[in-house]
Amino acid sequence: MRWLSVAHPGHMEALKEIVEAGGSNIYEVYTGGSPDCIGTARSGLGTPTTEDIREQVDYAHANGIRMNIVLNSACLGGRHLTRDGHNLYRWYLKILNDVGVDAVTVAEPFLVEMIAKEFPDIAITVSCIAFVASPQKAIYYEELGADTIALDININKNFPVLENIRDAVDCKLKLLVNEGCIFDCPFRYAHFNLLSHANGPEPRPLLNYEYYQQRCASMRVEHPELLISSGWIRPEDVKEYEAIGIDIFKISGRIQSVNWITNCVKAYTSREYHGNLLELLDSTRELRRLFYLPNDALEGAIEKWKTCDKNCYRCGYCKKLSSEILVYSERRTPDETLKPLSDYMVV
Amino acid sequence: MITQELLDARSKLEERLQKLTGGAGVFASESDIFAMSCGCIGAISYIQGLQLEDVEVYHDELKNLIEDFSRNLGIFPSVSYAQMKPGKFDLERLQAHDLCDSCKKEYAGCGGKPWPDMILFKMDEGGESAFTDILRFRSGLEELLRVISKRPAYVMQFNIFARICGCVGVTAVVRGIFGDEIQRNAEEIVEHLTRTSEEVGIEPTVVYTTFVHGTEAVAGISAQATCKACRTTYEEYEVIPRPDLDILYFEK
Ligand SMILES: [Zn+2]
Ligand SMILES: [Zn+2]
Repeated sequence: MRWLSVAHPGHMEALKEIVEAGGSNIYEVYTGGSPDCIGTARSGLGTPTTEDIREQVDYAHANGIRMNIVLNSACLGGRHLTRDGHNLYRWYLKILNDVGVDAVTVAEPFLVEMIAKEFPDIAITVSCIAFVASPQKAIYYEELGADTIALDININKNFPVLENIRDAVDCKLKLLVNEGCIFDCPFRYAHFNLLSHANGPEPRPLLNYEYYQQRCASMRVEHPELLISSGWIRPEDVKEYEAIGIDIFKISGRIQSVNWITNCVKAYTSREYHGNLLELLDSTRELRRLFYLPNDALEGAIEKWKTCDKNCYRCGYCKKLSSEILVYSERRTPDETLKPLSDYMVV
Repeated sequence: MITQELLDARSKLEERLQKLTGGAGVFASESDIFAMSCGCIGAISYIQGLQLEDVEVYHDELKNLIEDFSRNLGIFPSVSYAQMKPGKFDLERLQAHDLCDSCKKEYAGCGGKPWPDMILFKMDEGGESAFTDILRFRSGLEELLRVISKRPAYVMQFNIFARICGCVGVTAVVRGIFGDEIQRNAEEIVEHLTRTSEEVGIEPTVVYTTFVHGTEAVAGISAQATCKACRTTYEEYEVIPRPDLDILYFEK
């Protein structure tokens, strides 16, 4: 059974290494589409041409892997509701269809319905940026034409809701396993909206500041327990989700290095990992050289999270676990050490 | 002193670049030596006026240029590369690193293309860098901020910079410390950064923090010996303050 959806930075060399690392575990790879057309909520570095995509689709197919192009802008700026915009999207999707792309990932309900109607050969994944977090919302999207729904990461540790969604729909369900975003993050909608504009069609905002990214990093230094209550899924815990009927597990990290991605693929395919969990997490990239969160120390915590009511303010379980976090100090000097978090703050 | 060497190295690199490309519109706007929280150290030159095709044509020359630049400053690179501007065909910077062990793994493999928009010149074992004091500067400031904040404050990166205008200074990218904490300990921070600056040959005329836009969270702390033109800019901030900047010390 193929079960992994893997981030692909977009160049052929990367695809080959990913395929080699994940082999028959890989269900699909996903990569960004053209920023000039629909855009995406994640920044991608190189943009592949149509010819690149065709060549890579062929390579993926030869290895039994599907190609998913991500067009999950959180804001289309109304362009989709103009005749020119609709025609532009139609033109671009036809190109993707012609080169053999298997699926696209979208966040906008209009695109789900339009693609389902006009491009029946392209399978539709609803992006986690559509924030599907309830059975009812999943049903809406399935009725619009979704083949797969990537669920909101805020419910990754909420088993009752996951089980209810599984009951409610027949389409494939996908969970993002390695995103380190803050649980119920106040910045999430606004940040994705900003990134959609920054990585979408012109005019792109010329930013002086990246408020959201910098602000949330500061919040996590202030409250390291946010690293633990976040929605990531440890490689060892994937089986718990398979048991409730989750079909696909998505490895995030399109802007990371290829070796970083293949390292994650190896950790998840072997279903075990004995290092700093932050090394596997996307979006906490800048903090993995500050904190060391030993994955082994989190063994068994899933049992608590399965029944947790997510009232962090009165629970304190993740805060207690944060005493396991270590802090890098004096890096690459003769005094380099890893110190317990309690050396620096009250835990 | 390393800062004078950095200033000289910047103009020498710029001169060589202009001679190489015949382009009067080619500049090295800033050159830095940096230490990152992972333990990587390196040298950067920000370039204006070169495109991807120039990088392809002058591949070997640019490799030599940035590696000479780095070695002359005492950093023996294990990797060197050209970084393009995100989503564009313009060169942003030339860079050489003496890599830490974990970054070595990230840069390796993938046929020399660890990221799609990076043009890797070389990757090998490198050598023993002669200038490693910057690692101590980074962690020294980090430990001070941790004591002040009573939490694991973070210095992501520490740079010594030399700009085309003549400004030189040191600057730290920080997370997990806030404006009021800096204010309460301004004297100590100014003293610490002044001491560090002097070690590298800089007598700072201004010390300041920058904030995450619109918040009290500090994003950077810098000590700088300003050129004449930039000094005027900082004087103006005293009259019309910049909302994301707090001046801790200004030499009158
Ligand atoms: Zn490093
Ligand atoms: Zn200046």
